[in-house]
Amino acid sequence: MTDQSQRDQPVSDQPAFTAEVYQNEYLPADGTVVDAVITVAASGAVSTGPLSAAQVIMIDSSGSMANPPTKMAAAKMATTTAIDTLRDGVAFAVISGRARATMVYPYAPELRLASPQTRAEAKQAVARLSADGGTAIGTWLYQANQLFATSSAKVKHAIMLTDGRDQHESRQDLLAILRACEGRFICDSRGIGNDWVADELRLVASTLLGTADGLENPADLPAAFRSMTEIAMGKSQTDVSLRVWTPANSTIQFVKQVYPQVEDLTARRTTVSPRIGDYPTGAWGAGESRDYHVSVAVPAGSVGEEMLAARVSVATGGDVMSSSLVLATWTDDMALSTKINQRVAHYTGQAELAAAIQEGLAARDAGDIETATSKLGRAVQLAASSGHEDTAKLLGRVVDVVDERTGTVRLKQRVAGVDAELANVRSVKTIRVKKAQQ
Amino acid sequence: MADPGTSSSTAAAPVPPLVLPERLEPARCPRCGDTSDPKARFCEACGHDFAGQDGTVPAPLVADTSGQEADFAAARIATSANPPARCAGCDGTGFAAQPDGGTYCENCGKRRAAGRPHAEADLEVIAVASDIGKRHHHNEDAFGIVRLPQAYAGVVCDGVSSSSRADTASHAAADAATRAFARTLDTSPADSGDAQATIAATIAATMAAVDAAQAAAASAGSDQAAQSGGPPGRERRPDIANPASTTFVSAVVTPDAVTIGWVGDSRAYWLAEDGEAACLTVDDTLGSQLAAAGIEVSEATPNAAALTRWLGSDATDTVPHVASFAPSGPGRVIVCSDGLFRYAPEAAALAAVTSKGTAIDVARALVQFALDAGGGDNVTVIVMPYPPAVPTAEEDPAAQNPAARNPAAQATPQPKDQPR
Repeated sequence: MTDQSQRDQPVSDQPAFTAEVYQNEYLPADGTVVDAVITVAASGAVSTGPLSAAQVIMIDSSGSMANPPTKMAAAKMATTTAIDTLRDGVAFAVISGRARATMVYPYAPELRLASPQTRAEAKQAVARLSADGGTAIGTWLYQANQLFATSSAKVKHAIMLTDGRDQHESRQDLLAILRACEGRFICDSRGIGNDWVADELRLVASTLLGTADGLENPADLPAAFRSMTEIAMGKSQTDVSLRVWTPANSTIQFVKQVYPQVEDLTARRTTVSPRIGDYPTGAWGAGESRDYHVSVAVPAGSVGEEMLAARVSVATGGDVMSSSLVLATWTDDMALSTKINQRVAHYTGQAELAAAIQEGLAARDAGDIETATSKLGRAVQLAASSGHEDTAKLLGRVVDVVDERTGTVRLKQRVAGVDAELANVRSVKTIRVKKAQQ
Repeated sequence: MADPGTSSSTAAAPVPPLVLPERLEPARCPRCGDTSDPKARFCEACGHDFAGQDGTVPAPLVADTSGQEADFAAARIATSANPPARCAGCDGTGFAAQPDGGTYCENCGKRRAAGRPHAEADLEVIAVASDIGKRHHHNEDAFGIVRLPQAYAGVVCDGVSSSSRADTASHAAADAATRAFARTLDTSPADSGDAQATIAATIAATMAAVDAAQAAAASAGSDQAAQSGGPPGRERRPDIANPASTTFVSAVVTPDAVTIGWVGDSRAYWLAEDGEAACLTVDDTLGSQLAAAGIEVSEATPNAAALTRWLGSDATDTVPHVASFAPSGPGRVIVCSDGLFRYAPEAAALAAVTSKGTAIDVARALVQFALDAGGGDNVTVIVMPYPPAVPTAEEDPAAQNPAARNPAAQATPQPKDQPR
């Protein structure tokens, strides 16, 4: 029996987080896989005043930024806008990125606290920036990491802007530096111009729990920089983990963030105890809401049995803020066991959509027309059926759609390079279940 | 179990010769459920060590709350509501460490049952035995018995197996009803000498007990709802298709009458010492209701066995059927779940397999009869003699010394001779 008074859950009047489970708990007699979508929301009550923050802006200053000159001008304007967006007292620095990283502001490798004076000095330094040299993103990140290490700010946020391929370092070097930076700061990566590489932007953002995107029009840069800075300044809870308890003899198949973008967290588990693992989710702002898809394989039970397949909590530091139960009940009632939860189905589709786009574009680059056509056709079909209009539009720049319902497409003969990269970098962006579908 | 999918009145199975077991427990292994030798140290089937940390063999539960509540100081009661300490899935004791209030095992995740696979209670003149049977994972049958100086009451609740966590509703309902009986019968004029007043009091007590049972069953079901939509920050669980629900049957035995109350398809029988036998209840099933109205119903009729009434958060009609009768001579009232009467539905058939003996012996023997006949369902049997034994001065502290009607005086009931 469940006795309310026996529960020893800490109950606060205004919880910082809520976690809501969506699943069909009913499994057929031989069923072993339990899927659930957990919607985690940071309530408006999270904020206890703004958290201390630090921000580093990395501007690609390689030679290609001068061609066309509007790119460098827009990058400078955007950096200036971001500097103006910083609250007084936020520690900041600006780095110029080439084959090596150099300090733009301040001159010494350190952070400065934002004030009218330091903002003015920083903007002057940014104005003097010129485009020249190569691209090695890892060295920029390394420098940012060194700067953040000197700060005790709660929120450490970086913006990385690049216009080209990361060509002056090896992939291994970049991966090693990313590993060193992981968990130290959050980084949003942005591409400008026609030559950036979606996979690189996604790798940086994914590892450093930020967002990746490409900007088609240099004129959009200042607004994007302001927005990223504002969001970072608005973070009110850092080091938030998804804490997952699973029973003995079960296997976690995956833990994925599925909204606002697909992020597979499965491999990023930190063991808390034999039954409990933490998955990093970074920093949260008040009112933010994200969805997670957890899939657990449990030993088959017999009809009538019920078990707890997972307990999903939100943990910050040592505190468990909220938790939800993912259940499994075995039944011989087909009407119950064959139902697929709407949200689970939706996000399974969204994850497949992201994978289909990435695999389709990779096949296209490799010259495998057949695979590319099939994968991108499936992507068109999934985007249409889930009502993901933005992605449908992007796909329309890569393929000619014959029938979106059946996923019949033809690869476009001439595609601007940036269109494929845009489709790729935005492939992970998901939408929530449309109201009409619910 | 009141399983709407199975017929509750199939033809009587051939009655096997009745053998009274010397000792029923331990009937089965707590880990694998296999029937085990009472003297064995290890389970023959799975090797489970019966001599666990918390004792030796899995002893039957008797939750005797005699005198623990001032409300019904003169009553001795026993109910089945007592969740097991060890997990049926992994045999661990992970319930305590679990933040859900012990609902799930912290090690293997299995849900904790509300009651035990096998439970018995013996208040000397009245007794009950209950067993999980051979097909089910939980004992969704629940019971409670009350013994007062001049009145007995017994309650059986059978969780509806098609509802979620039926055992939570049945055990909560039986426990609440039993306590309600103890409270009301303790203060009602059972020994006033006015038969009409006594019968009216037992009927009122039955109505109150069903109210208490319904409230408890509904809150067991809505606990689930509270968890799915409760305040944020608490443990939550997703929506449940069918809230927990249960049947209810009770009998009150006083010197003047036997009063029966029921909702659903659990039954009460009267077995007179002179051989007369009768089923006192009419099942709340489509088939039984039609038959009672004189309409021929084929056993094959779809939904003939479907329950028409039950207790629980989704129940709409919970007013019990109540019947009272004055037996012409001594006999026994049997209150039971369909796990018993599916194997002997006719009163005469049940009488034929009911042995003579003490209440606990008869209860155990009838449970064993059902297990031997197939044990297809949970089985629970309460045995109460009529008329109630007139308490001797030695037996009734209240009669001996009214001032002694307090918990301390009643806390350790003295062993006494069988009153028959």
